Amino acid sequence: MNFQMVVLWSDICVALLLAGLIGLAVFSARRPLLRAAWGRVGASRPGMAAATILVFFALVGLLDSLHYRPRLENAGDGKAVYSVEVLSALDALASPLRERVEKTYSAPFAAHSYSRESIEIEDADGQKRQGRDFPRLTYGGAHLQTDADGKLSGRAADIAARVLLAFAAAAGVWVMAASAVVYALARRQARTLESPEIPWRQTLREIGQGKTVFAWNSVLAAFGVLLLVLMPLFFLCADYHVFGTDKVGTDVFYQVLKSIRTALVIGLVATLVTMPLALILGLLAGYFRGWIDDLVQYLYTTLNSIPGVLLIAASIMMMQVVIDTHPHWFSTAAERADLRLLALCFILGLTSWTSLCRLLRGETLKLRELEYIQAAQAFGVPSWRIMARHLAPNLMHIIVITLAMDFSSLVLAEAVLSYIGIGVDPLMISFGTMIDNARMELSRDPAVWWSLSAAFAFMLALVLSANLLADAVRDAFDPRLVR
Amino acid sequence: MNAMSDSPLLEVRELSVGFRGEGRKERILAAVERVSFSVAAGETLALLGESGCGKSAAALALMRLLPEAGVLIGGSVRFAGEELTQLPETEMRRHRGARMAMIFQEPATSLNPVLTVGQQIAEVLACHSPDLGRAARAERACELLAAVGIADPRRRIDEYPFQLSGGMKQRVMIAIALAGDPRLLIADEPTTALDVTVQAQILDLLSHLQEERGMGILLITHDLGVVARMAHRVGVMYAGEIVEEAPRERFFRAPQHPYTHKLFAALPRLERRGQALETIPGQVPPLAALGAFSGCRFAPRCPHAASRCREENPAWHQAAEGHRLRCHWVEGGKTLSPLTAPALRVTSLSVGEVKHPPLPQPLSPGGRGAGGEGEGSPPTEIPLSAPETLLALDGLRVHFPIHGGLLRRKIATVRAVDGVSFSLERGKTLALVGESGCGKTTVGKAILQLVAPSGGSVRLSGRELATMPPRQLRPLRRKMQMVFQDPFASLNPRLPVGEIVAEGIHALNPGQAEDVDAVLAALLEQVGLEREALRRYPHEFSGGQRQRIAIARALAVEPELLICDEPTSALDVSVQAQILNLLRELQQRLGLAYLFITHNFAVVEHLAHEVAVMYLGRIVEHGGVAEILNAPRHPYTQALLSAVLSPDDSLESGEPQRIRLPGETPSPARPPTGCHFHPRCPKADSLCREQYPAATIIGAGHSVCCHRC
Repeated sequence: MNFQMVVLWSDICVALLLAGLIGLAVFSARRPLLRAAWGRVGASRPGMAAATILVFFALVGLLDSLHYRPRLENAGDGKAVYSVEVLSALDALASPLRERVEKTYSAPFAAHSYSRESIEIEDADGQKRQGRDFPRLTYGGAHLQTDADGKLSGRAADIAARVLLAFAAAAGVWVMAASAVVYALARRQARTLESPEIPWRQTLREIGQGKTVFAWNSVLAAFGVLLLVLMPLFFLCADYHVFGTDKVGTDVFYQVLKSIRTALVIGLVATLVTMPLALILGLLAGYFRGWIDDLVQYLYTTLNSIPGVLLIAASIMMMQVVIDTHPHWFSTAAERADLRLLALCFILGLTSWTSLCRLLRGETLKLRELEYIQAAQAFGVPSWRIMARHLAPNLMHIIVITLAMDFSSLVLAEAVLSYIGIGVDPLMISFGTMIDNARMELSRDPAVWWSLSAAFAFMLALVLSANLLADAVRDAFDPRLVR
Repeated sequence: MNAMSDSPLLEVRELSVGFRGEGRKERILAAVERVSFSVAAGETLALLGESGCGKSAAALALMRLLPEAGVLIGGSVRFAGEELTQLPETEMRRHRGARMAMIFQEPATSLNPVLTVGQQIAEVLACHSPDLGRAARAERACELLAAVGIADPRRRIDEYPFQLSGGMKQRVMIAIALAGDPRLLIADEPTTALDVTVQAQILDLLSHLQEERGMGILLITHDLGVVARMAHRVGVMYAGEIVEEAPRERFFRAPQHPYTHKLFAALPRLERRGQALETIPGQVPPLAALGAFSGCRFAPRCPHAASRCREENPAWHQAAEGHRLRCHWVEGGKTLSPLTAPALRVTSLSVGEVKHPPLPQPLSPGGRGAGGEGEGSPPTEIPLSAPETLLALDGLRVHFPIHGGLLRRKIATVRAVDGVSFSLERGKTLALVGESGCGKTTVGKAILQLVAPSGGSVRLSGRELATMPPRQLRPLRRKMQMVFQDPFASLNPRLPVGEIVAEGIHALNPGQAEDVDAVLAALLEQVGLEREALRRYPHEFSGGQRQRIAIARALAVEPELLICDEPTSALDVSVQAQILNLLRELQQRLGLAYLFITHNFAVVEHLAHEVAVMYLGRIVEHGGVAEILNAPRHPYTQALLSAVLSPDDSLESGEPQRIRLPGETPSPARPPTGCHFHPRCPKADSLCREQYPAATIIGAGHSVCCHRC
């Protein structure tokens, strides 16, 4: 074994979330009503296009959640010694990105540094002299030749050639994926019709015209767009810093990829904390009313009246003190940063359950007066069972809708909190820390714009697709909109 | 315009209305198909039909107010000679309100809650008489309110809808409709949401206004009684088509179409007591199925259907002057005998018996107490070893506190139920009758301990329930169950029917769980549903079928007492008959006792042994069904009975003597002093204003609370 598996607490959360999603899928498949609702989600074109993009984000996040510590090579005495640095599967795959660190800022696709440095320049007569110039980057565009005047030659041609190659590869992958979809659909069609012929053309036409029940055409279109964007990045990132480098020379593309997991963990784990709290308190308050209702209402009214940022700042500070006074808890810096990430998730979750709870309480108040609840009461069905069997399933649409909506606001909240310094650990790469760093960079002259832009573009893609999917989910689950 | 004076006010020809279906294919489902009718000035045409027959869609299409999914497929609507279907929207807006106005079913949602009554009337006035000034508009609004019988219009004009009672809101709606001085009034179920005494007031008002203004009225209703009271001509709609059209006299005396006949026969009436009601098998075909019909749409449910009926849609057949219908059977020379002839009843009975599937044996023979026998025997003949009191209420009170002020202290009490006493014998039916808000539903819930009684006693088989701790109460819940009013709210939409019905078994008889499936199947069969229903979900069933499921759920724990809270008020007439028959059969076979909570005297006549009339939380009269219905003593009972509209009324010559009650039921939070009924009572004197009357026994089992009886 040349590595040691490391399971961080947030990895466990990610695994639990994945298990929960699979569980939800199995549960929904067995329930005709839920299956029909998810079927409506599947029929929504914007929703499915967004889901395709989200799958890409989720894959990156999952790869980034498999952590290990590589074995150090120079351990002489045969005892395995592992690096203190915790890496993930994504780091391994993107090791060229991770390892090729420049000295400092460089612009996207640059071959030279962004600022002048004192360097030795060899003159034409072979004499060396000191001068200030933009030095060549160690890795970015290192394969390019400089001509006699010290100018780069053939960079545009090189990039264009790589992009064209990437487009060709993208087209190939897309055609393969599309054929697989058509093949599977046509086979299924043939099986249901029990015809010996496989209706290729018809299936193709149906997908093209959007007549399939599942919105395959939008999935394929989104997949195509995704390939057209990612393939060139993939082909170019080997020899260029496609999004430039930051102050300490790290590749911004690598940072963006690493930020995805942070955003997903924040969005999902905080949601996971929110849901049971809001559901249980909302149900109790709405069903029992009386003093329990008063208590829950006072609780969330009070919580709502404290400025959320203050509460989060105070909790994070306290957490940081605990972390700092117990260094022996953590064997690596990654574990320390991870605990702070989880703490942030919990704090965000604990402060954001109020609106969902209020919604659920109101809906429960309405539902408990319905006659099927009274029928259950007339049978002497215990209260907890009425809540679990009759009330909770009828609240699910609100929960699904709210959680899907909250996800994006939590991702944005992380960015804001990290910006004001009470977010994730400064060592942890996240959209928020990237934006925080960009604060200084933008005030430089000339400004360093690429870090912020890259973070912005990826966060926008993530949040926009989450919102579009949330919209589709709401339309499918909201009983008032279902005709 | 003078040339038009002979032509009818509204003439509809071959009107077809559809709704866009789900899915990508943009399929249009026809809800109204080639409907033609006309309304003359000063005339009332009633469109009669069950829910889903397209009568409301037709009315909305006339006003061009169809919802977004609605499409006008074809046909013409001419109003005073002017074609409406082709008018641009701006032109159409001149017609709405000014020439034809509409009033809707639910007065509570038809008025904007944040505007005063005056503002809402003035809005219409501003549209249609723009030259009126602000003061003139207010003056006109007052006149309109006075015209619809609202006392003290100057004060009311500045009130908000929540300050008005239901009947007053409907009056305001009518005033708004009248503001544009329309020549045609479309009334879509104008009294369905109102109590009978208020319904009588509103119908009186409508016919009075019609006489005064010579308006044409298109009345849309499902209630034969309302038709008998209001209509000059009647059009019967079924599944999007008009199947029969006749003047009122002719319609009630000699209806010809089999569907119309069935509707009449399905009405519960005293003379059909003890017999199974006529039912129409099946239900109105859903919208999506209408496209598949090539023949007569009633054919699948028609007892006279022949092969021709299924293939060819019948054309109009003129039966008499002004009386036409679409039926191959009648066209072929057959006629249905007039309703009053005894022959009809014989046929209907035999047909009724054939249609019922043979009933399975009770679940656990002998476990149910006295079982009845004989399908046709009237319920009074159930052999009982001895009359045994199952349920006894003594001075039951349910008071709800109203909290208010800063510290949410109790500031008032709603006396929903205020001292109700009665007893119910095993196997008998007691009907608890009253208007909305009289506390009758609360009595039912208090018996089941779903709301905690504030005082008095509830004894079931001699055991006091009111003070019993919940743990001891649970086994007793097996003995009493409830069937609720709204079959769409009483079944959990997220659970399959099997789990819904099994709920009671799991909750109350956990030991019996081995063969739940067989028990469930037997239960469903007992209420006339297929075994396959167990795996399906409530939304796949129609209202009547859902009510059957709800009954099966209640029967699952083998109760002795079934509290039926208006179990048929949300159902169509033909389906109502099916449910009433089912309840009657179950009583005969299982010896159930029913507490039947209702506002519908027709149902009372059909099912009850005893009747208790409630007013504002108290029983005002209690007695055997014959005494109450034939010789009511309390003025309120008399007024209630007099307000009941029956299709038979139109057969009697002349206007029957009616007692009209002024006003509406007061709030139970502020009951009047003395006798609660005195402000509305025609006989009240000073004693009534001061003292609540004690119960007077005036016959065997007949008691009444009135100073003047």
